[in-house]
Amino acid sequence: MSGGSITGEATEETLPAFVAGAHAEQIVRRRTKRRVRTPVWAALVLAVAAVYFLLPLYATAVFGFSTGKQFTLQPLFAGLADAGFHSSLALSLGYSIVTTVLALAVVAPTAYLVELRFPRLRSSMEFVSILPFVIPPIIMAVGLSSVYGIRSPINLISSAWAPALLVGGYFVLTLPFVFRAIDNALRAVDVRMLSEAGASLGASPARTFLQVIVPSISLGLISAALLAFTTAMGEFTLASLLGYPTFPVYLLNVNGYLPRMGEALVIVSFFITWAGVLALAAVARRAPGTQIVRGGPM
Amino acid sequence: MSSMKAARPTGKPTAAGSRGGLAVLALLPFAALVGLFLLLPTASLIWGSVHNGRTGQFTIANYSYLAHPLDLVPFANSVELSLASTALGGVVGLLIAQAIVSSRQPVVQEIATTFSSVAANFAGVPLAFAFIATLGANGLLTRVLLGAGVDLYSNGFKLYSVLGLTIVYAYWEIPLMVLVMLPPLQAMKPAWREAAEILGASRWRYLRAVAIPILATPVISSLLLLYANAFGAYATAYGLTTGFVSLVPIEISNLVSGDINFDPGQADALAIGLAAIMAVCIGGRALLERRSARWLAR
Repeated sequence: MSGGSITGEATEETLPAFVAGAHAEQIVRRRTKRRVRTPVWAALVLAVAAVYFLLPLYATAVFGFSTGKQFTLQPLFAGLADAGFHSSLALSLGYSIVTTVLALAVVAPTAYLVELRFPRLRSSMEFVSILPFVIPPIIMAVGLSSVYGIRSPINLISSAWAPALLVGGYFVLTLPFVFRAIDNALRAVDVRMLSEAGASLGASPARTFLQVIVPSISLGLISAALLAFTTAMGEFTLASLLGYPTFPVYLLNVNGYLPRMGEALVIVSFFITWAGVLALAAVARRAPGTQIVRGGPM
Repeated sequence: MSSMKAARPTGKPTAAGSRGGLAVLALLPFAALVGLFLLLPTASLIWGSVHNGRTGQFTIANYSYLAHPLDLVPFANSVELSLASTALGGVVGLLIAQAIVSSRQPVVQEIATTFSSVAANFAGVPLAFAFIATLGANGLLTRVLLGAGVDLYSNGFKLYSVLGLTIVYAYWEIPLMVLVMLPPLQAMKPAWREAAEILGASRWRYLRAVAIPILATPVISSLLLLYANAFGAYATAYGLTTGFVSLVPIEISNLVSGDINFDPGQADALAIGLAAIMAVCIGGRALLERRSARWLAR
């Protein structure tokens, strides 16, 4: 990428004011050569885009942080103190953490074994991992409720196993990006060489995996974890249709009777999304090519 | 050596030895999760779509919607919404992505990329409420426009219509397009343009002979992703309309959760129709990606 940092440009702008004589010409030449100028049209496009993208957030904040006439944080405090907010957020956090741990614990060793021992299974693994994009959440919800719903002989929804059903659904939902992030990381290191080195030093396959492979694909694992976590945190379709009172489901209900509080909590949810993306962006800076968007219907 | 050989049948197999059985066992958790929560529900959908939901008899009546123009209204609306939001997201997203590249300011690029990923991930219920606060009957922008003499709602605009949904869907379609098009746009080397100019090519000729052929594959592949995302989206549409808009995902949920028009067989058949559309988009995208990956590898 061309150009320097903010400080670099500031130096170029301010230097000529202080330097006179022969140096000036040299600097002017350097400036004309290196100066990066944003085309007017590009600046205009970005400005208009910023308005379109910030306006709904501004409107939400205006509505949620007011009593109708004046600015107040009361709806936000009311929302943060609401028992339904606490229980639904706790539920979402619980499902997201369990889903993330399960996804990493299952997909990482499987992808590793497929890469190392069963290359012939690779294409089927890729196919299975892209399938959840073809079966969006709304279809999955119908399929899961027909197999495990209240009308099915295997009625998981009304049993103590109900949490397992949603976790299973979220495992499938997050599979495409979890697999992709881990697979990309695995392919960037020489899995075969590392495994043989581990084996020749007397390590068991499990130990090689945990102590050699896992550290060398750690950035891929972190990015997979963040993608899985943010997806599960924001997931509405499965939770709503299968009847789990998670945070997005609560958000929809609360807007029906306490709209200002609901809009204030929308801002909270925006910052949750923001935190997840910032964490992903931090990983992406260290591992270029990291996926920072899920890219699937929600 | 002999002690090792003797230990092998009973003890822990060595890394280089035969551990095929154990490795296959390690694949089981993945296979079980995918089988239970992806393949079984999908199979159940396919079975359910050709059986009567109440009597269990084989029938193709669930697919009768394909022959009745009135029953195809949800498909027509979904196609209209997906085409409109794909066109809007595609054109504006491409423009913004090029503006980001052309800005040549690393800071702008970083902020725009991060914000794009936040916006692309900010979908579903929170997005719906952000837009209700903006363009709803009592939204901020609606009132501002009313003050300026433009009465949106008496002119037939509704946020809950296909047009309104298009504007809302654009909120994630545009940034998604930005994110998937940034890498190919950044890969366009200035030297190609300079070479074309030296050879006497006009700006248009450069676009037609160099830029468009190179970018065609990523653009088409991105548009397929946008289309699939709009078609399969449920949470945002439901958050905005609570089920009162005729789109395929909404119809499916009405058919399984409603008491009056409860018809799981028809829901399954609609779901298969939706999955077929998703399969065309996702499959087409996978083929194009494979092609461009081969091209980039050269």
